[in-house]
Amino acid sequence: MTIFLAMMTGVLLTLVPSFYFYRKLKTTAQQQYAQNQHAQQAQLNLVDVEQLTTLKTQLEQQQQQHQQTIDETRHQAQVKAADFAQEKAVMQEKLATQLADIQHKTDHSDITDGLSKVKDELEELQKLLSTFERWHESLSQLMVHNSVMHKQNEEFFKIVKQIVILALNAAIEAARAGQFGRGFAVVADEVRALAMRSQELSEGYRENLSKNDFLTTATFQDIQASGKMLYTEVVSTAATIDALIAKQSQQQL
Amino acid sequence: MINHEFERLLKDSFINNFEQCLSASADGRQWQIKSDYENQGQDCEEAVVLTVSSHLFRVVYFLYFNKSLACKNHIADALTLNLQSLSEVDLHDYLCEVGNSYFGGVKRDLGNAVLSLGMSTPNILNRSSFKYIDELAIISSGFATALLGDEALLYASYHLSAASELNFKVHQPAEPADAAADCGSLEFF
Repeated sequence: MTIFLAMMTGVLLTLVPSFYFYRKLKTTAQQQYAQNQHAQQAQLNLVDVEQLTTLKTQLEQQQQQHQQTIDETRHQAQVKAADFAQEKAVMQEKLATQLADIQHKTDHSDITDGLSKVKDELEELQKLLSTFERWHESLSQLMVHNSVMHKQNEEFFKIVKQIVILALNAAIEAARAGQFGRGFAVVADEVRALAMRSQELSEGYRENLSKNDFLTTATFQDIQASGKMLYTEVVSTAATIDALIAKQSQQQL
Repeated sequence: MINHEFERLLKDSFINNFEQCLSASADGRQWQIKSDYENQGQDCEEAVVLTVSSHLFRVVYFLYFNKSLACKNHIADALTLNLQSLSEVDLHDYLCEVGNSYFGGVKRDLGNAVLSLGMSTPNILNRSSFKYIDELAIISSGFATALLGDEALLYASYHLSAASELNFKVHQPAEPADAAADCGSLEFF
């Protein structure tokens, strides 16, 4: 029994430590396994990161390349756009300049030509002055002529008055002569009647001459004054046109 | 047929310029201008006649005078001539000059209402012609007498003739610098 006990104790003594050792060994193994697994997992994880990093790097590179491509394209586009814009601007400017030039030449040449023509016509109109001088001379001649007619009429009037007196004297002498002077009295009466009519005509003629003096003078003066008014307006318009032509010339320069 | 404003300008310029014109040639003697209701000058021997025209009207101005001793004396004094050496041509030339100056001033004043105006050169008419002014369909007239001392030496009248209604706005007088250019000398063509 003792032996058995001893044996059992020995067995126990052997088994218990073995059990503990086994358990420890097992735990250790398990831990190591876990560690291995973890390490393995970590290693696996490490591989993913690398791949990812690689992929990321690749992606970044591709992205950079794409960005560069995009940038280059964009730059080229910008350059081309700028070139186009510049070209367009140049073309527009040229076109605008040409249009303006055409417009300027068309309009201004028309205006300038028109103004020059008007100016020439106005210069011709200013020769009205010589017409007025001619009218003035004509009026002066008319007035002198009227004055001469006035004087002649006055002479005629005096003569007629003398004839009237003579005719009256003749009638008186004829009456004195009685029967012998009857024929002469008839002639004297006729002469007197003619003289009286001549006197009336002379007076009428004098009136008409006076009226003619006034109407000739008033008409001529109105024409002359109106002519001067027109002349002043023509000169004023010519001056305005001169100023416009000068302004146009300055603008063309 | 004529607005009051323009008629007033016609009358005022007619009187004022008569005085100004004669005062300038009076050697210190006092002229007196009297506005008349009738034409006192129509009995004078002769008159200087002058016309101011526009597009719409004409005004005929008369400066009447007699070849009296008083008138001749005044003109001889003004021209610094002896009375004996004063010829009819001298007398006419002087009065035409006075008329031109007088009515030139009137024309300048009328320019404040009417932009376009022209004035004729003066002519001499005899008394027998004066009455025919009525032939011009006159719508407005004015008369004045110029007295030197107590003696009436000169007479003036104006007669406005227009075919249409006249309605002018009178503006402020022009600059004095412009005034000198259009008055005081005979306008010859």
